[in-house]
Amino acid sequence: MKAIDRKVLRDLSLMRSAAVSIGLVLACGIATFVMSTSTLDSLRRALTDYARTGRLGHIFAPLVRAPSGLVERIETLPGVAAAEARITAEILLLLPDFEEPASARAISLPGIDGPVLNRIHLRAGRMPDPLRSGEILIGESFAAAHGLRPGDRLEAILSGRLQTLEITGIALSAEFIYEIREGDLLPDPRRFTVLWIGEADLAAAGDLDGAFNSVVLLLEPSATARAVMDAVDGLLEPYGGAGAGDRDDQMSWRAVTGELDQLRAMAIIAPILFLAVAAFLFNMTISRLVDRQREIIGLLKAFGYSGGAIARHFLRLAFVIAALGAIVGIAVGAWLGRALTATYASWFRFPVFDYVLRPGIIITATAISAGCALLGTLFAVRRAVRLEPAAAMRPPTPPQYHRGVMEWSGAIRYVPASLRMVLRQCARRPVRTTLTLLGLSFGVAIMVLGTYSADVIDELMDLQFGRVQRQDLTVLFTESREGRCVHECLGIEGVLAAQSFRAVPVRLRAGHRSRRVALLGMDATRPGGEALVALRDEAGGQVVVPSDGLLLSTALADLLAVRAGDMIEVEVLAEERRRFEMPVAATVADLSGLGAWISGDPLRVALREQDRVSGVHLGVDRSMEAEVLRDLRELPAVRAVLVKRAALAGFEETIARSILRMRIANTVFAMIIAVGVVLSSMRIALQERGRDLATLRVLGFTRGEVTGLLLAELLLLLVLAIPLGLVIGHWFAALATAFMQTETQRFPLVIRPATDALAVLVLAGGAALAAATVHFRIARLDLAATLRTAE
Amino acid sequence: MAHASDPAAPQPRSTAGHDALPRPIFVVRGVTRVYRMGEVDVHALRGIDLDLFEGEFVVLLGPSGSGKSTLLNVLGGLDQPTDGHIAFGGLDLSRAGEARRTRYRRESVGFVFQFYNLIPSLTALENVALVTDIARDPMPAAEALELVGLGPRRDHFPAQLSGGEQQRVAIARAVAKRPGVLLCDEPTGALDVETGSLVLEVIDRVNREIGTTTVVITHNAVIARMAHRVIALRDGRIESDARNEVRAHPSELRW
Ligand SMILES: Nc1ncnc2c1ncn2[C@@H]1O[C@H](COP(=O)(O)OP(=O)(O)O)[C@@H](O)[C@H]1O
Ligand SMILES: [Mg+2]
Repeated sequence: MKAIDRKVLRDLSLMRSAAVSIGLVLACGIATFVMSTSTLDSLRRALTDYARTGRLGHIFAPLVRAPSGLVERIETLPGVAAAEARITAEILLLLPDFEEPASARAISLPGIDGPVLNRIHLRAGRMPDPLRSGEILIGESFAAAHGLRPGDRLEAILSGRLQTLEITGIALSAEFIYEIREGDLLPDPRRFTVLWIGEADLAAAGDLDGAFNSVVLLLEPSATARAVMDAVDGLLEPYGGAGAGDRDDQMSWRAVTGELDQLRAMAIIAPILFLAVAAFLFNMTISRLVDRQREIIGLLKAFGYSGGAIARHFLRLAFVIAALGAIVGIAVGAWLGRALTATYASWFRFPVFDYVLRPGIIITATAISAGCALLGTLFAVRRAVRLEPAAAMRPPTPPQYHRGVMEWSGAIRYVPASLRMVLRQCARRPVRTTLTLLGLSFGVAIMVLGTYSADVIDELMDLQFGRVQRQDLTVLFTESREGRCVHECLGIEGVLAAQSFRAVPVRLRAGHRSRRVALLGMDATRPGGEALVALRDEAGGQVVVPSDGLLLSTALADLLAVRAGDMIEVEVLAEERRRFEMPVAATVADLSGLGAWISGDPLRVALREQDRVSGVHLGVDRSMEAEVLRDLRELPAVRAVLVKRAALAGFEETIARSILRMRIANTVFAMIIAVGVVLSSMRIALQERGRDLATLRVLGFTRGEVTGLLLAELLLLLVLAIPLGLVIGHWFAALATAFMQTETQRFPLVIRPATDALAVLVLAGGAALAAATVHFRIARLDLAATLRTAE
Repeated sequence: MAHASDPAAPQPRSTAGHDALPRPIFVVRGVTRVYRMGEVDVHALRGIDLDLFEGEFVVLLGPSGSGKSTLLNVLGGLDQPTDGHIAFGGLDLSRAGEARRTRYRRESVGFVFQFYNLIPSLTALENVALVTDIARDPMPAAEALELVGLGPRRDHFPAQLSGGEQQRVAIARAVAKRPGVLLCDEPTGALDVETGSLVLEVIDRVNREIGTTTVVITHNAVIARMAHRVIALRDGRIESDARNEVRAHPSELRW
């Protein structure tokens, strides 16, 4: 080993606590990067693999009824690689262990091999025998939630007839990676499942012999989805085509790709904050090292070491730290990524969902940390290279202080002499002071950025389920029923209020823009009083559904480029294609997506029908909820009962744990930043001012007073860093939120005061921790030694 | 900042001279100081017995490494003896804890060092104010600067002052608290002759006018002529302890 290499090691061991704090901050940045990119990568890979092997359709078109032969015409449309007809239905399941009815989305199985598109992946058991009636496959989440196994039996209501079904297997499909009922905001695996059943059974139940009511298409790679959808819509129009949609119209696909978007945002934004702080710490520490080693550098140069050799020496030092940071960061990132992937695996059902850490990510992470070290040390190294040997051997010129603003303005008069030291020292090194300030504020920002999403979720939940959807239960009917069923509901003991609605698939058109949505015709809440569903404008005010206009969600209005007052054409996607025009009355906040509302009666007039309802929202007496649910099982033609409270509880249970984990991880990260920045700047302050501080001790300042002076500086920086950090944190949160917005899903930017408070607290805690160590270092100051040297 | 008075500390008198009633301000008995340097013990002080009297101007002489600074640091409460006793008035310095010695330095000791130890970020006046801010009964900082003849330079930073001027600021800082004792470790060590004698003159004047007990370390025997008393150290022991019949004025000294 060469002597200069030995110096690298010696320097490292001398600055080991500084090296550890830099390495840790760097490791945090690398860890968040590796965690989010590797999870992103794993999830994306699982999704694309499964979409391919599971032959997930590109286009889905629901319709009322078409003869089986039609599918051959669809298959021959240009751009279509394959098309498969099927029958879908919503059926009600009655479980022995469960008061409430569960509902299932039933999909027909064409034969023993299952469908060609949206293929079935058997997890347990066997495929149903097409020759035997009543054999089914159920979804894995539901089976897990109820402990159901192949061989178990279920009661089901199929077209009003009670029937016993036998589970022959547990299955997955790429169409239901996320098992959620279309139109729902929350998954509820105890009350919803996908279910596959022989085509004959469904056809019999739905009176669809020799016919189908849904078609799935696989596209050729060169095809444009829009053109194919238009062609399919044209073909299906006479058969009550409800408008073809692509994968993005599927809840499951949207949920998974939405996660991908969030991971992508996290992979970019969070590491930037950490790496900026790490680069700053590199700069601060290596600069200080160069300052302290001026004479050694001069000596080395005098001995004939070149500038390049000096530069390599300091860079090597930085790269050793960077390498350690990268190793720790990659290891922690892989560990966190594995945990995050496992969390996703509990939400999303893939046949194969392995955590993969590609070498490319490891290489990128290593390069990023080397780049961070290089960037951070560049200025310090350049200074070392430029040092003239002769100048380097002379002691540095004593720090120059001049009278500044504070002196001329006279403001300084009110400051005790000891505090003037602090102020002048901060003012003399404006760049370093600013960087320290930024470093500390990034600690606050990380904390805000890492925890605010819980506030967003809270706000979403509170708006959607607290202020807008105030019903307790929602009953959905298999087909529209007469309005008197509302009275039947109100007749059930424990039901306090009922608000019925008529839902129809429509295509909304404004100019050349159009969108297929479910239009909800809302009736008045009976027996009166406050409406169960209370739509809100962006400001939170209640919006009453008008009798002569449409309410659109803000996202939908944006998509159609319309505002209140604009006319919209509504085309009902039923067997009879009725069209009517109506103005947009107002836009409302609907965080779940693309909602459109109208008053029930005008909708029925447009549909030329009387007194039909698709479902009814119920407000019930909480203490009687179980009884109400049992009574609802007796109602005819119920296809689903949504229990809001249960769905919310289930959601919170799963989300609460992952939010807590995220909070803990980010708190640790923010602590590392706070402690790292505070310790580094205090350590340097101690080194640079060790002599002054020791002099103060000699002059009779107590240890506490001297610590106080250093802390006064820290406090000054903290007082500035906290508001700055909150501003930066809010700004980054806004950026992250912007990244997550999709066409259909709007996230509000909500940061609760508690989140800000926690961020401030964590930074202050980190600072206090670091300050405590400084106090002990001051105790160890060698007083007599400072008097012997001139420095 | 607590300004609890130090009942043990003798108060400086307004007038003094070697002919005043002698009263020991420091009593040093059998003091040794051993530094452990790895395997070897360095005996910096090997048993010092000494009485220092109020108002006395004492010069400590001796070759480098003879233990002068160690003795001064022990007297100033910066260091503690390995063995033996030191009392400052009623205060047992050899037993006093860290906090008690800090208060002792703060209230009773004025230090002047070879390298001034001024705070570079504070002006001359502020360097003095640093101490008067926390002292029990200080003179105004500006007055202390006048005393050393630096009134007009009060707003200069140390880097803008010459070595001699910096040392005079240090003296002003040391005496502004009206200390019980003024301890100077080679105050002229880093100065040329002209400046050095100016600094000595200031120390001398403080001793004569305020009557502060003063101990000055030097290895320059010429300086010793201005003291009441000259103590020579060698190898951690007192080699000689003599009184000057006549004190020379610093301006008469040439070295
Ligand atoms: N902190 C210390 N650690 C170890 N040895 C010391 C220390 N301070 C002084 N010494 C040693 O004690 C002896 C006396 O030192 P010092 O009192 O500084 O001498 P002087 O001031 O007379 O030159 C010297 O040998 C010196 O090396
Ligand atoms: Mg000495």
